[in-house]
Formats: sequence, C-alpha cells, structure tokens
Amino acid sequence: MLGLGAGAWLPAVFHIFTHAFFKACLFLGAGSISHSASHHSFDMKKDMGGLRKVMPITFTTWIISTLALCGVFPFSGFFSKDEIIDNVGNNGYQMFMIIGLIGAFMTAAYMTRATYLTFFGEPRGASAGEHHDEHATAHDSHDSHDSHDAHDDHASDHADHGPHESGWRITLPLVLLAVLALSSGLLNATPFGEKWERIKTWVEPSAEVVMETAPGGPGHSNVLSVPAAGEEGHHDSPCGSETPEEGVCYAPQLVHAKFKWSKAMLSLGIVFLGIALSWMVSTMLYSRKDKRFVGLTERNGVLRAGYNLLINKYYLDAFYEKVIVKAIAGPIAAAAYWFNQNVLDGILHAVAAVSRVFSGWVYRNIDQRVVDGTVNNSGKATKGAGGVLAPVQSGKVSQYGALLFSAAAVAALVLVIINS
Amino acid sequence: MEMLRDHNWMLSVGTFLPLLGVLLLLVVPKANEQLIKKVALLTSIATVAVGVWTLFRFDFGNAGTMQFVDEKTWIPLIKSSYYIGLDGISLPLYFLSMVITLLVVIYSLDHIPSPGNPKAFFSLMLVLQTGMAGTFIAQDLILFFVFFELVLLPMYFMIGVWGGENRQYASLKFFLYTMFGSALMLVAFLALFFKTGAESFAIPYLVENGGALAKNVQVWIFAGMFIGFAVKVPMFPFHTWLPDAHTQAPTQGSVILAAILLKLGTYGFVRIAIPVLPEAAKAWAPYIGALAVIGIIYGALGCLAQTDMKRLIAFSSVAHMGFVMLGISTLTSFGMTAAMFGMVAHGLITGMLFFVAGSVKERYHTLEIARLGGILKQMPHLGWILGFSCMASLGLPGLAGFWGEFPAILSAYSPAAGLNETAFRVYMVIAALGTVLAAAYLLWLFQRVAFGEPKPEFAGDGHGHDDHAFHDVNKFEWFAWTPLLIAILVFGVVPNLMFKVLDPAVQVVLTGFKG
Amino acid sequence: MIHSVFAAATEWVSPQIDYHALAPEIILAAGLCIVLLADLFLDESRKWILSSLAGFTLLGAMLPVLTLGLDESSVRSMFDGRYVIDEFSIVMKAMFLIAGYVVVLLSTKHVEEDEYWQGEYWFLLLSSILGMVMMTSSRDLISIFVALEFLSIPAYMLAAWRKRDIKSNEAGMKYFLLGVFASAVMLYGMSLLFGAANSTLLVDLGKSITATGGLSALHALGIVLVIVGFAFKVSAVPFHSWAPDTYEGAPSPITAFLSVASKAAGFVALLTLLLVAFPQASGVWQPFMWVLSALTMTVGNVIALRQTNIVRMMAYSSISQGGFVLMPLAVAGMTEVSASALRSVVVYMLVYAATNLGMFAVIIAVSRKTRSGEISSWGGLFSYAPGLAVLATIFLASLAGIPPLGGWIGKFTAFQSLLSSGTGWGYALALIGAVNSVIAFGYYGTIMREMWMKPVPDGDNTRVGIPGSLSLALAMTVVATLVLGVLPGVATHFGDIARITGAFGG
Repeated sequence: MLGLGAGAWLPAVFHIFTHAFFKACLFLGAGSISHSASHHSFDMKKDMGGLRKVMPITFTTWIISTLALCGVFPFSGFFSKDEIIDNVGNNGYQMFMIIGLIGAFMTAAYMTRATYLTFFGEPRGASAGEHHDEHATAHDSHDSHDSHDAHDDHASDHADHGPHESGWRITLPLVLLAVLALSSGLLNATPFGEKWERIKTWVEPSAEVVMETAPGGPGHSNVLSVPAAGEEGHHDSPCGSETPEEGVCYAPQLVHAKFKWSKAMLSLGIVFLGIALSWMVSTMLYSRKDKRFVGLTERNGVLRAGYNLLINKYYLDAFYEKVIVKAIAGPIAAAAYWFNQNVLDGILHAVAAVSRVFSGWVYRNIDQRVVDGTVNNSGKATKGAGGVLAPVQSGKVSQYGALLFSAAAVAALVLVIINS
Repeated sequence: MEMLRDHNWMLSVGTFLPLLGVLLLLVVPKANEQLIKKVALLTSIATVAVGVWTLFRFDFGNAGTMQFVDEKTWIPLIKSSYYIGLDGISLPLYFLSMVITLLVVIYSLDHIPSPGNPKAFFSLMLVLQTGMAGTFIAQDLILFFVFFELVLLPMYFMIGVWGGENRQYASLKFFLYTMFGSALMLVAFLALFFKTGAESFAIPYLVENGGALAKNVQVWIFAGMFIGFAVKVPMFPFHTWLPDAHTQAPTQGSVILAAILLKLGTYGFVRIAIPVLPEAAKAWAPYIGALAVIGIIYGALGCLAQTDMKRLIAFSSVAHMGFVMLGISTLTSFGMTAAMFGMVAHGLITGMLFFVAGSVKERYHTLEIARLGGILKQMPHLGWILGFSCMASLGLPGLAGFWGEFPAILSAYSPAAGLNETAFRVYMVIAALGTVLAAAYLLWLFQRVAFGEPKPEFAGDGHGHDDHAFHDVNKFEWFAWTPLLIAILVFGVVPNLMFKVLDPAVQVVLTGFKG
Repeated sequence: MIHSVFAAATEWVSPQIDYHALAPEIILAAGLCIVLLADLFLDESRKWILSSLAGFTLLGAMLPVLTLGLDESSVRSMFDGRYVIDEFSIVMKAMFLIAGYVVVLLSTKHVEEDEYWQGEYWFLLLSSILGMVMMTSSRDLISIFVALEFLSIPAYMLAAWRKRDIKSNEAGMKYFLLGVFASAVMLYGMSLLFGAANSTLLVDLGKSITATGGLSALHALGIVLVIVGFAFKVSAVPFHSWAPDTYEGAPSPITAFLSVASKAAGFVALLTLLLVAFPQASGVWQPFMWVLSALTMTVGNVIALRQTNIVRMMAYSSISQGGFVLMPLAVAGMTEVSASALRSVVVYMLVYAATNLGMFAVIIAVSRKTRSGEISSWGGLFSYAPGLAVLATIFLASLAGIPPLGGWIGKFTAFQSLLSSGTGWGYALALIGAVNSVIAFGYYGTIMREMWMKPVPDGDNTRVGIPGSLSLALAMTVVATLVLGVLPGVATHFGDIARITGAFGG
C-alpha cells in the first residue's frame, strides 16, 4: 500500500507478487503447527515452543519465509521490499521512507519473537502433550463450523501422538512455497542489472495513449474502458516509463529509483538490528525470565495502556463492530426502513386515505346529503302526494332540479361575462 | 438508419407464439392438468427454440444495427405502426425473457402455488411472456406502450390470486403505481409526438428529430417518461410497491418480476428517454444519479432491517437497480454497457435467489430469517446454491453480478462531458460503499439461514423418518435452476460474450451525445 | 319576422326526399308499427316473437345503413340541409342500431321472465332507437329537439318499466322530471338562439355570429343553456344527479341502454351543435366543456370508489367515462384540433358502447344466479364461472383503458387530440385525465379482486346458466372490444374520418 501511495507502482506490484509466496508459506506453516502440534490452538505463548525439533520441515520453510518477509538478502522480500522503500524515498517522500524503515524494523522484531516462541525454548501446553479444557470447547466450535471435514479422526489421532511433523500433503506445498519465497525475488532483481528486471516489462502500467489535442478532458469514459480486455482499441503502446510522443497518458509518469547498495545495506542493517534486539528481549523474557522485563506491562501504566491498545488491535475492530456495524445494521437500517414504511408508504396511504375520505365526503355531502335531508323532510313534503310518487316527491328531485338550474345559471352568468 | 430486414417474421413468431399456447390452453378442459402442463411446457420450449434460432441468425458483427426489422401499418389514424426490430441492447433481454419463462414453467410443473388452477396460471404466464418480449422489440412508442401495459394485468392477477397473505394490498399497489407511471408516460409520449411535428411514433424517427427540441420542452417530456420508467425500475422514492409485490407474489411471479419486469423501466431509459431527448437527459442525469445512489444505500439499509428472507431479496433489487441506474446516468457508453450487463445479471441472479427463497418457503413454510438456520446441514445442495447466488449477488468477481456493478461504479468516475464530475465522483464513492453493505446483508443472510444448526422446530426428532420433509433440490428445480447457475458463472468468467453484443448498440444509442 | 315565415309558407313546394337516405328511419318506423300491431294479436305464450321482430327490425335497418356506407357518392342533404346523411351520421346510426340490437338480446329473457308488458317494451325501445337514429342526421334546432324528445320520452317509460317495483318507479319519475327540466332549459336556450339568428338551421346560427360582428350576450346565453340540456343527457357533473338513481332502479337492459345509447345520442347532438353551429363561439363552450369534463371524470370516479352496488358503481363509472369523452371538446374549437376531437369522440363512443354493453351483459348473467346487485355477491366468480369472470375482466380492463383492450384507444385518441392543441389548458386537462384513469382502476379493480381473489360468499358453486341470446350479446361485445383494441384501425377506418369532418364543413 505504501508503494502504491507513493507512486512506486512496479515495486508495489512486485512486492504483492513475492509477498504472496512467503505470506502463504507462513500461514500454511502456522496451519501445519496448529494441525499437527498444538491441537488447533494458535496461542504461541500457551501451546507452542520448541517445535523446531519435531517439525523440521515446517521450521525450515518458516525460517525461509520469515527472512523473506523481513527482507533479508537474497530472499525474495529483499528485492521487492527494498525497492519500495528506495522508490518511496526517491519519489520525494522522505518521511515515508523513514516510516517504511521503522516498519521494516518492527517486522523483523515481531517475526523474531514469533519464531522464538514457536520453535525455540521448551514445549508448552498442547505441544507438550497437555490437554487443557479450552481445547475441548475450541474443538467443538470448530467442528460445527466445518461440516465437510472428518475431524473426529484427527482428534483421536493427536490425542495419542502429541506434536509431530505434518503429512506430505501439508509439507509439500510448504516446501514449494518456500522455494518460491526464496527465488521469486530474482524475477526482478534490480541489483543485478536491467536484464533481471523481467517483472517490470510485464506489469508496467500499459495505459492507452489517448489521442487528444486538449489534454485533461476527463469526462471521456473511453479513457477508462481499457480494463475490459479484448475490447476494441486495446493497443500495445504503453505509456509506462516513456512519455508518449503525442496525446495524454492517463497513467502517471513513473520514475524508478536506481538501485543503490548503500541504501540496501542501510535497510538490511536495520532489519538485522531488529532481529538481534528482538532475539535478545525474547530470550530474556521467555527463557531466562529476566526480572527487569517480566511483568513490565503490569507495572508501568504507560506500557500497560500501550499493551492493551495493541492486544485489542488498536480497538479498530471494536470500533468497526460496535459502532459502525451496529449502527448500520441496527438503528440506521431500522430508520431507513421506518422511513420506507412510514414516510414513503405513509404518503401513499395518506393519499389513498385522503381520497377515500374525500370521496366519502363528496358522496355523503354532495351526492347523498340531498337524500338525507330528504328523508327528514319527507313527512312534510309527501303530504298530499300520491303513494306511488312518495319516494320521488320527497324533495330529492326538487333539490336535483335546483342543482340543475343553478348550475346552468352560474355557467351562463360566468360565460356570458367572460365573453362580453 | 441502416437496418436489416431479412427474416423479419422471426420476431413476430417469437413474440406471439405464447399467445397461441394460451389459445390452446383455453380449449383444454380445466381438469386435465397433465395436458395443460404439457401444452404450456411445449409452448415455452417452442418459444425458446425460436429465440435460439434468432440468436443464430443474429448478425453479431452488426450488433448496433436494427435487425429482423418489420414494419406494417397498424393504426394509420394516429400514425402508429407495427414496427419491430432487434439490436444488441434488445437481444439479451428479449432472449432472457424467453428463457426465464421456460424455466419458470418448468419450475411450475411441480410447484403450482395455492389455490391451484394451472390452466389460468400458465395462461397468464404466457400472456406475460408476450408482453415482455414485445416490449423489447417494439420500435414504435405506441406499440411499446401497449406491450408495456400488457404485462400489467397478468402480473396483477398472479400476485393477487396466487400470492401470500397480504396479496390483495400488494397487487393493487403494484397496479396503481405502475398505471400512474404509465399514464404520465403516455402523456409524455404524446407531447413528444406533437412537438416533433406529429409525423410518427417510430423510435428511430423520434431519435432523429427529438434532439432538435428546445431544452425546456425536452426536460418536461423527459419528466413524464422518467416517472413512468422510474416506477417500473423502481427508483427511490417510487419503489415502495416493490417489496410488497415481491414478497406477496408467488415464487414464479417474483422471479419474472425481478428478472424481466423491472428491466422494462431501465430498458425504457436506454431505448427511448435518453436517445430521444439528449439535452433533457443531460439535465436530468445528475438527479437520476443521485436517486440511484440513494437507492443503493437505501436499499441496502432496507435489507439490513429485514427479518423476512424474501423481503430482503426484494429490497436488494432496489439497491441493484440503483447500480444500473447509476451506470445509465453517466450517459457514457461504458456506464450504459455496464448497466445493460447489470440488468441481465440482476435478472439471472435475483431470479435465482427468488427461486431459492420459494423452495425454502415450500419446505419450511416460513421465510422468517430468525426461524431458519442450518440449511447447509439439512439440504446441502440448496444451501450451496443459495450461497452461490448470494456471492453472485454481492458482486463477487468471477460471477455475473460483478460485471454489472463494478464497471457501473467505475463509470461514475468520468461521466459524459457536460455533467458535473465532482457530483458523480461522490456518487461513485457512495456506490462503492453500497457494495460493502451489499456484502454485509447478503453474507449475513447466508450466515443466518445456512450456517449453524437447524432450529429445533425444524430439526425433526431423529434423522430417520423426518427426512422426507426436507428433501434436497428435486429434479424440476435442478432443471429450472441449472441454466441460471451456468449462465451466472459463464457471464462472470467471460463477460465479453455480452459486452461485445451490447457495446455497439449502446454506441448507437449515444450518437446524440457525440456531436 | 312573422311575415317571413308566412312568405316561406306560401312558397311551399314538396321537398326532394331521398328515400335511400331515409330508409333506415323508414324501416324502423315500419318495424315499430308492426310490433305494436302484432302485440295485439299474439297471446301471452307467443309474445317472444316480438323480441325477434324487434331484433329483425334493427338488423333490417342496418342494411340501408350499410349500402349508404358503401355508397361513395357525396353527402346526402335534405330539407335545405336540415337533415343530412354524411359519414358521421352513418357511423353513428350503425352504432345505435347495433347497440340497440345488443340491448334487444339482453332484454329477451329478462323481459320474458319478469312478466312485464312485452309488446310495449319492444315498441318503446324501437321508438327510442329511432329517435337516436334521427338525431345523427339532424342539423336544425327543431329536428334536434324532436329527435331528442323522441328518444327520451320512451326512455322515461322504459326506466319505470317494472311498475310494481317502487325503485323502478322512482327511477322513471326522476328521470322524467329532471329530463323535463333540462328540456325546458334547452328549449329556452334554443328560443334565444332563434331570436338572435332568425333561423333554426345550425349553419345559419354560426353565420349569424359572424354576421353580427361577434358574440352577443344573447348568443352566449343561448349556447350555454342548450349545452346544459345535453350535458344532462350525457350526465355530466353537475347535471348527473338523476343517473345513479335511475340506473339503479331501471331494469338492467334499460340501464345498459341508457348508459350507452342515450348517452351517445347526447354526445352526437353536442358534437353537431358545437362543431356545426358554434365553431366561432368556442370562447363560450371551450371553458364550459373543460370544467364539465374535469368535474365529470373526477367526481364520477371519486364517488364510484365508494359504491358497493355494482349497478350504482357502473352508473358512476359511466359518468366518469362521459368526462373522458368530453375531454377533447375542451379544445375542439381550435380549427386544427376539431377534426381529431370529433374523431376521438366517435372512437371513444364506439369502444365505450361495446365495452359497457358487454359489462352489463355480464352483470345481467351474474345476477341471474346471485339475485343481488351487491359487489360482494360477485365473490369467487372465477371459481364457478371462469368464462364470465374472464369476460368481465376484459370489459373492466377495457373500461380502465388498459391496452390492448378497446378502451385504451378511446382514451388515447382523447389524450392525443387534447395534446395536439398544445395549449396549457389542454395539458392540464390531460394530466387530470391521466390521474383519473389511475383512480378509475381503483373501483374496476375492486370488482376484479372480488371475482378472482375472494371466496364465494354463500359457497354456492352452481354454474351460471346463460341463455343463448345473452351469449350472443357477450360474444359480439367481447369480439368488438378485443378487435377495437388490437386493431383500432378497424374502428377508425370503416368510416373515413376525413370525410366525417368534411361533412361538418371543417
């Protein structure tokens, strides 16, 4: 992300590429451990330790990927990560380069700690063959989420055997990925010269050169219609590194940093510093139980706050979950739906109701009031009238007639006035 | 305008063949249900066969040109003619309507909703098919209007007779809403007719002459059409008929409604309103875009608030049609092609979701999300089909839904010249947020109904004798669903199959904007 | 003035009579005499012959109408242009005769079973139709008035036909009294017009307006009062009050007759008056028609929403349909619109006649079983009489103006002619009409819902027996409704509309 943001497109893409291998390898390694050694636990402090002896393949591949992740020469991460940091600096983001370096330092540090906890030291918890209570519940919930896996067999398996190396179905991909993690960097090994920059020719943005006399006319969608590959007009004139002769290129101009061993050494140094420091602290903390470090977070308020912040992932998840998701799924959605049911439909229903009421009113007062009035007055009106004519002579007709004559009179009056 | 007039009998046959089926059905005695089903099935198969033949004869190299054009005098008095034709925009929808009808007929062989009476049910469905297909081929406004309205009554009865508890309210609401829209639309058509010299209702003629109208005239005429089409789409705030109609309609009705009927509105925009009135379209586009993104967010929020599975799917249509309308409102070929793709994709996917919802309802007799659960365990096939459709609906790349949604959002980045770029970029961002919400409500739905254990009331006591109550997808359902599932996948992987048909035609539609 | 009348009298020569042109009227007159006479010599058990006689009379009168229609020669004018046979009148004559024939079909069983006086019934029905046929050709105030009374007076009696039924009596009486009021008003208006123009010939009335250098108050008053008379006939609001009561009380076939034929006769008279006599006075009647039309369709619709009796609902529906027919007349004074307005009124009336008669045929058929006029008694019709339910749905949808059924082409031409005026008033009325056509579905939909979606109220699922004559009426009307909707060209083609307008001298 840093690479993309700072305009170092090529290294960024390259890093995503190499990253895929070593990160996948790390995840797979972690999976392998949890599967075969720690009873589906991922808790490094509780259930791991000393696994390098029982799981040699997993250990080796883990180490290779870790080094690649940290960007140690000559693993793939070195080529890609270093390039990003270089380019970031080169593109004028000095501040970010420093942050990048700090990041690299931290990466080295946490990976070292993880490695130490997992593979070195003494076996703890499940990896030591213990069966603690949480395991049972964890296992249950796991099982119910995964309907297609026959986990019962496994449960009985490692209940008997304790930690062991995983089967070939797990180790084979591990090894393959590790090899790739080791070697994929060479695909764009800038330090070795232009010839090695193969990725570059593949992934340089190949945006279309748009022929346009007046540049900067967004609003022409065909600029962006390139991604649908195979469409017409997709031609092979990338404006990547070179400026096009005429026309405008909508992909930013790319300038790549020249590789410098000095900078590479700097970052390598930082990485090694991170590894060394972390190793030291880890051994002191976890193996020798140095008094100065153990329980430091409990004793020091500032550190404790930091620790809590970290352990809760900066509270971002909580924020997302408790505030944003709850709000959207709860009150906001409910409010929108309420709006839908009560306001929009309400308007509709109100229109319907009003027209019903209106029609009722018209019917009662204009059309039928005559009738009602009639019924009340019918006694007087029918006096002396023949029985057959009673309902007719009830006054209804006279009112109808009055309506007829008066409407005619009004119409005549108005229209005569208008027209003369 | 250049046109291809050979094989011009084909569209008429394809459109009116279902009516022949209706006539046959009328003479079959009501009691002979097997024969009724056979007649309906054969009619729809024959219709699809004509459709396939149309596909073969269609000149894909000339997708932007009207093909199979036929023009006969019809009502000389009002200068309207029987004028039909098919181009790249119409073709996918025309064919889709035939296929959907066939699939719905297949599904109905085994699922006639209460209170039965297959004779009437199939007759209405076939009449509906004629109306839908006719709307997509009509090249004359009056003919378009007649077909557009022809679908109203059958759908009204389908909802009102075979629908859920609240069917009468829903059917009347559907009807009055649509009728209100189409009444104004008709007034707009007439105004257009007179303002262009009272010469002809033919769409190509109007496209040539509509652009010359004064801008304020165009804007008013567009307003009338807008209401007519927007109700049908439906766009916020004219959408409130949709959740009710969808929820109350029988499964078949919901599928047809979602897959085809909603498209009549968007198709109207693309075919008529925008090419005929380019100036007005430009003036209206920002507002349409705004309503579209409001629809996206609003529909998604509506979904999150639902407790009923079918109602949730119904609300998701509001959101999805929002994407379609956003694509259209950019007035660019890119956006409009995306919108057309989105229409077809939405038809396939939401149709599929409604099928699944119908089958869930049939088995559990409820669609209350809180009462459902563990479908994957009880009926893994049904569960996975639901999952597949949810993924497709939320726009997972590799499935058809993605190609309607993503390019539509992207197109808002650079709307047509003359439109407010900032506004559309804001729309783009909001629409992109909408996809997140879409993922949220669909996955949430899937998680709640498919994962976990079945609720105790449906779990059955012991797995022995209760199993038959929850039989998995049966053969009729497989027959009806497989084509949809395959289509969702194929168009997801090879979207160009459709893009290459749509794009030339959309370019033609947008000619008015080039100059 | 008196002198001139005498002078004319002394120069009296027997006018040229075109017997071919008058043949329909002559056949009708002869037929009604035969019916009246035959009634004297037939005993009760053979009275049914009378209905056949009446039917054959009407069909017989159709023959000369057809030959006149096929005759391409110019307009036949008699009595100094007071009686004119042109395309317009031929089309309308055909409509009245066919509508009359359908009413005969509707009445046959009804009258037989109700033990009423059959001979007089047929006689009066034929008389009324004769009046209508005459109305189409009348181009003179006097002949219009005679025709109007000729068609109205038998109708008053027919409305009160079920003389032991108090409602029927009420219906006839109200119709009569209010009809007489309206006639009085109209006659007063006619006398004013005669005073202003010194002639009763319609064409002369128009000339007198231009001759006197414009519209005088006398003209305006006369025109308004004459229009009021016909507004009553077409039951335009606020002159509609008789219609619901009369429709409800009259025998159903007569209700059908009144709501279709009698109303159409009113429109025929209105058209000839407005377009032949007063095209120059459009300033008077255009606004009047605008208000009448808007009021009529709105009030009719809105009240119809509240009705629970089907005949009453159809009465209000018929009122609001009248409003739609009136729509184009609100702009018909403009020379470029008048042709299309005339056309639209004619087309609308044709379609409306077919559809409304069909709907009444269904009502008559259904009430044979249910013996009730309440809409709720129609519940579940679809389950025991699907054929009738489908027919009723077609008619109702046509009345609501849903394509591709007949009604839509009527509404469409009305809208078209309104909008062709291009005036703000035209657009405003079109919008009111558009909204009203939506409201109308509210009550037409109620009946549909009742038939399709409700259970049978009393659980009685016996089939509805439909007599042959009723079936024929249903078949005729449904075919007409469908054909007019799908191929409206037929409706507008068999009388060349251009020549109809030509007949009115532009």
